[in-house]
Amino acid sequence: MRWESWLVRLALAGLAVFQVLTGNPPGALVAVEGAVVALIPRAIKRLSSIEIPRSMEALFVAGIALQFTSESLKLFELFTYWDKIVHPTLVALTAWLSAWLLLGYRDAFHKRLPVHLIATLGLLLGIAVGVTWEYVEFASDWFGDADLQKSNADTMTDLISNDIGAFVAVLLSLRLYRYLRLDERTRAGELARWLSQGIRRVVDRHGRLVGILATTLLAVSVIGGWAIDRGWPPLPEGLTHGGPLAWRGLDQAGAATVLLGDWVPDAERGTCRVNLEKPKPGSEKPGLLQLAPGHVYGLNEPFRFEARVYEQRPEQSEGTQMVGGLAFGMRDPNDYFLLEQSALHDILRLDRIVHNRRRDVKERLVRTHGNEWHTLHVRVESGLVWAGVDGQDVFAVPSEPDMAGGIGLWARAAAATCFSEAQVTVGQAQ
Amino acid sequence: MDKLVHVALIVPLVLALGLLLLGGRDRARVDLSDQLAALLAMLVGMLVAMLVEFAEFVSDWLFGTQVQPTNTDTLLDLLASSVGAALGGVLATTTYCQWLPATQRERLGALGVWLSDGPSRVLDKHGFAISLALTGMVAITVVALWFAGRPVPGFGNG
Repeated sequence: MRWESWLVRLALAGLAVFQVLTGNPPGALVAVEGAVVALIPRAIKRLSSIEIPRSMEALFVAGIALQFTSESLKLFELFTYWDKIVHPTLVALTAWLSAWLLLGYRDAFHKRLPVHLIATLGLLLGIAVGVTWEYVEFASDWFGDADLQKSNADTMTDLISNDIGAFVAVLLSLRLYRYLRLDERTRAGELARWLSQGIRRVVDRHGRLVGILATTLLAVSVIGGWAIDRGWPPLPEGLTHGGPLAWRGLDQAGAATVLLGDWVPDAERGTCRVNLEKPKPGSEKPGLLQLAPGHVYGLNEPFRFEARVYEQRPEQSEGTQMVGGLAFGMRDPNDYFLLEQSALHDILRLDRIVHNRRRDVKERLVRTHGNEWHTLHVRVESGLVWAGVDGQDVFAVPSEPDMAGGIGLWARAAAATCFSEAQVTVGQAQ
Repeated sequence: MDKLVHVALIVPLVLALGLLLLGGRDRARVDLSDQLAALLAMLVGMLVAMLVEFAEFVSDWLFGTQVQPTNTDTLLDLLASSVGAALGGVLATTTYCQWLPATQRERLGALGVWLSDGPSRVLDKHGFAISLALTGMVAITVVALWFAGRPVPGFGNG
């Protein structure tokens, strides 16, 4: 009886019951999924008649439990760097188990496999799993607006932490392999052979077909990714050229229209995007407040749009989202350009929101904190779009005709993101 | 266009590596299947692509360059390189197993063994020191990234 693995599975099942009792069916479903995935070693034993070494099963179950418990309890959204702990741990376990399987295979079947080669393979397999994970997240964001990859820095630091995890795990696995009993090593080797046999047979028999299918899948993904972005809406009819604007709040009649989310006046902080429906951490939706409705900016004349923004730091239980931004080139609530600044991810980024999906145009590191006032600005002139914070330009990209349109304030917040005032000046900067 | 460059750069690298690996395997009589050798060469190609992206990221954060504009650009670069690595791996296995005569395989094997001999010996003798050095380098980089744009204690703004 492997009590430690069963205890962890039982804990996952218990978490599912807890989530049902506390009215969180999606969280319960994730926990149930985790409990089912944690049974894979038992399924392998049934199919292959090979008893997986106890320590390997425990490592696998622990890794699965960590991932699914984190998903179920939304720990990724509650703790800022939680993903930098969980993902490297899973990658590390992949590298660790790969190295042990290969070492076992070498020992069980008396193969000539240098330990350097095994270490390299284990390390690279772990790293490849980490990279594949990022591809899946990227595809989920591109096609489904899942908002999994928060920034380029988020992706890169994920990869760095994954690689560190794989490196440490390989060193440890080589060191600790000696503590596996002889029969455990043999079973690890037999398991390695059983696991690779099926794949090897398919590649041997149908290698060409596998290659064609993989190429087709890639081609379909690339073409699909391009096709879903087609159809940037034209400028709505009946718009007039926008003039200078000084906006101070929702009480200015006719000066703003709420397009997305809840926006409320705040005595001290101006106008705030809040979540009256109290979504779960990580499920906060963007809010969009159009300024100067019926007016178009950037059609023929240069303009500068700026606003003071305050991103409130949420309570620990509320989540972590702290983003505010300026929308311009607005064609409708789902298609616009967005300059967003995140106090959580320390970035200033220009996005093109196409059919409600984010496409990043340019991103730079800008350190800010929650509970601070900052002034964001975007300036469209002389064929360039300048973006900056607190009066300092941070980057510029070439402008394009699509950038003409309405303007607005944008926010995604776990607590509140507030704007105290916004200004637009039209014409060449002095 | 730059994505094609990524593919074009990785293919010959993985092809060369795969050929040397397969040759070295036969020469040293290592029990590494063709498939696993191809996979290993592909993964090394992906690793190289990732290290390039790391270098770009670190350069942008620490030295203010602008070589990595967006997350999309980074992921598509990596994807293009992975495609190149897969192509290179398939090409290497096909070339070695089907097209190359025995004499050329032997020559590749001798070169592969000679190239891997030095690093293997260094790893055997100084594996611990290398691990420590690598760990130190990674730790310094991570600390430097953490303080990029932040005040460094005792040094003012980073």
